[in-house]
Amino acid sequence: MPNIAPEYLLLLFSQQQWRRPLAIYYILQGKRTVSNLYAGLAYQLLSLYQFLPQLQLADYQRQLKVLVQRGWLVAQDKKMKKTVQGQQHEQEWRQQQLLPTGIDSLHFPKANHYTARLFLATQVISELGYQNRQYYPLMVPERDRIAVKQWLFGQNKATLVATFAQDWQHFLTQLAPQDATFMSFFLSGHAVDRLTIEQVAIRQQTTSFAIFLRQQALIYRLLRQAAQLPMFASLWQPMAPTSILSHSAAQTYQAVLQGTSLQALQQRRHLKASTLTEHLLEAAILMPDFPFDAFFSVDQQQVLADQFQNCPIDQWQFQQLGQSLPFFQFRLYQIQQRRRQHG
Amino acid sequence: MDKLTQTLQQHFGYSDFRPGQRKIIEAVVAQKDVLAVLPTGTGKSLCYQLPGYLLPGTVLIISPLISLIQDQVASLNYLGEKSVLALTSGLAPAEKASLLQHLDQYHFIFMAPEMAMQPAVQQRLAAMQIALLVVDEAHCISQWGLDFRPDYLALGQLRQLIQPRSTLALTATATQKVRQDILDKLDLIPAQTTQLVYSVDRPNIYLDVQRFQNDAEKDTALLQACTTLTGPGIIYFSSKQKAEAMATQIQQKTQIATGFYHGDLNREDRFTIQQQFMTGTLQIICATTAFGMGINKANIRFVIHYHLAADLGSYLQEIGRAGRDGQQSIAILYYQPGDFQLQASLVTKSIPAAALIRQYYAAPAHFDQYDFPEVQLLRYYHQQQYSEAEVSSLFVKRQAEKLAALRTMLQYIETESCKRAFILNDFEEPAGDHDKQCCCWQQSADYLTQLALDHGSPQMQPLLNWQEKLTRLFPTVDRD
Repeated sequence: MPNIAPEYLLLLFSQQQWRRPLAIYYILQGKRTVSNLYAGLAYQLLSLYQFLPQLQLADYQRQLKVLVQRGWLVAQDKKMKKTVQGQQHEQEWRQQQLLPTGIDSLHFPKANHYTARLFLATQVISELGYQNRQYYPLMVPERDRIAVKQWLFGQNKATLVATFAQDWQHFLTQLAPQDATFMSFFLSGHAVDRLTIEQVAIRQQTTSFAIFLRQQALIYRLLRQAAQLPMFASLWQPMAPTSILSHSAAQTYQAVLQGTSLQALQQRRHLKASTLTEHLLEAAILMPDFPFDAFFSVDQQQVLADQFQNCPIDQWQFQQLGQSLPFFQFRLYQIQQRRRQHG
Repeated sequence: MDKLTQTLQQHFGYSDFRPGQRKIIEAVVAQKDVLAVLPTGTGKSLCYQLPGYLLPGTVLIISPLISLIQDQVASLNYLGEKSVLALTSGLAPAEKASLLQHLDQYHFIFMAPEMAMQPAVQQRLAAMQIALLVVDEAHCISQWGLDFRPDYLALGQLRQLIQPRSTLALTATATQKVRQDILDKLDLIPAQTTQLVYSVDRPNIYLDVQRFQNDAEKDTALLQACTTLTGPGIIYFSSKQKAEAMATQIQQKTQIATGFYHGDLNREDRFTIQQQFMTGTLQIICATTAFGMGINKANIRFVIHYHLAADLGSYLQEIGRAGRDGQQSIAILYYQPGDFQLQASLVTKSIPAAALIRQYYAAPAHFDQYDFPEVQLLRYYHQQQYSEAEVSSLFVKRQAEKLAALRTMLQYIETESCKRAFILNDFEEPAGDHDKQCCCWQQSADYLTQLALDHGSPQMQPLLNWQEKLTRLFPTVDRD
């Protein structure tokens, strides 16, 4: 991952909402705790969950410091907010940038590994099309090399070159020509070299991070269209997570949906009650059709609605409820309201 | 056709051996222990690759650097050899465990000495039939050499443990004293070890030295050289920033495709740039010495040193990447006042400072998690019961030796006689007669024309659009 420019971090903060920089770091890095996921929901940054697993905390903090020194961010009680100048600068900066959209590392984790596999497979299949065996395969992480090898093994050799090329043809045709050509810079194969991210950045007179972002956004677009790209989809298949939830949270959630009580689960799985409620909160944040109503009685909902109806969600405090409800229900209600608010 | 030539043709596609190769290979195939000194660029790798196809069992190659190992593995893969493994520290524990389990299925196994010292690895190796143990860059084992690596010292013990049928110690440069040290440390019996020593000289590389007053003059000369000299070429720098900056400048001002390469690039990018150079997409590479160790590009026509090399041995190693096809090539060393100081500070940096020695000896256990070369050196001497004072004086001495070696570079620049004779003399070799193809001593004004090295490099090709690229990648595909 190339060095991140401070402006990109500015995009992650708000002028209205105080945000915890450390939570944002853990969202980008992919540290899965309910607290971080909740922050992701509250800041509307969940789609960036684990987008930059290699981001170093020291680098991140150094860049934030630059933003504070320039007066674009202001810090208070371990939280930060964008200043008016910060907002202005961001707007000016946006006009000079092509800011890609559609990054979705929450649903498509480890896209960097998929990128490596896709480019290696492209090279190998291109060479195969020329029946050439003497070439230097792209340098990719060992597990990606093995994955591509296994994937190739399962393919129909007679049709492989044509079907794989069709996927590229199909995908690139739908892109704007400049995006298609941009993507093709990174492809190599028989007697065709690729460019590095840095080389493209120099040619386009921008930063390596901008190029990286644009490349990754196109990869997410490709992954979202995988239904129409059968070869690319089958290359993704072994990497596809079985659930958006962590393994343990998924188990809890399934069991609860099937009617198992938390007490029974606690005994069966030898887990603490708090661990199980954390699992449910994770599901409440991430699962599209989480049955919120099943976790409150009508009276409890009324208590929560009465207490918080005129208060912005960011200012809700658990203590305001006194002892009337446990934290789990407070947080669950908060999640529900957030999700309603964000549509 | 004899068996060796047949194997050469079948696996490597060549019809003739290069000087030195055949004798070394014959000795290895006859299962003799061999110490071979073969200059850079003359095909050292073939000396263990080819016997690999004639000997029963595994060839184990110990090599000092991961980048070198990766290049060597890539070149064997390129030749169609699939049974090659690099056992490196970059592997995930589960991957490593699984590879170790199937270790005996590999024909060529590469690893760095520290990996070879791990008990689990040793246990597996001991249970296998090792046909040939190759110690690459064997001079690293010698405390007399400037590249001493303590972890190489354990290779003697490894040899005892795995009992290879034969051992091949390979190096490009080694004095008599270092050669003796290699034999001692590897427990090779001199009377039973075939020693094959070839000249360090590469007569097809013209040796040129150019002096400047300042950076600006040097930069102008470099841009001029890039347009004049026949490519492809490598330009070496001591500084990563300068390598990057000059690469950009050269490409912008001359329109010759130029890339940069240094240790800060990630593995994938380093590989891509190396490939672009190999295929000719890039004509010029601006690099630090991280570039080129395993490069097997035959037609490199020039190597320019923008900054000084660390010593004559390194210089020969670096310029040895030119002219592997035997065609006329050129090595140019740029020098300006201040270059000596720059290189001297780098040399000093590579030796543990007094403060580090003190900290290490105060609490060696604190350094257990660190593995950079300075700490490795300290760990070794500490384990050998050297006192802090002894180590300090040893490093002072080593620093003095390194600076002395660097001063030899300066003498090379300043010598007012044949440059090649100077180098050969330093390596205790007799020099031949000086002529116009030799070096810049008594150089004529049109020497580049005489050497036929003034054709320049082709200019950059425009990039393909996506349709063109896709058609090249997959030519048989129907277009909509």
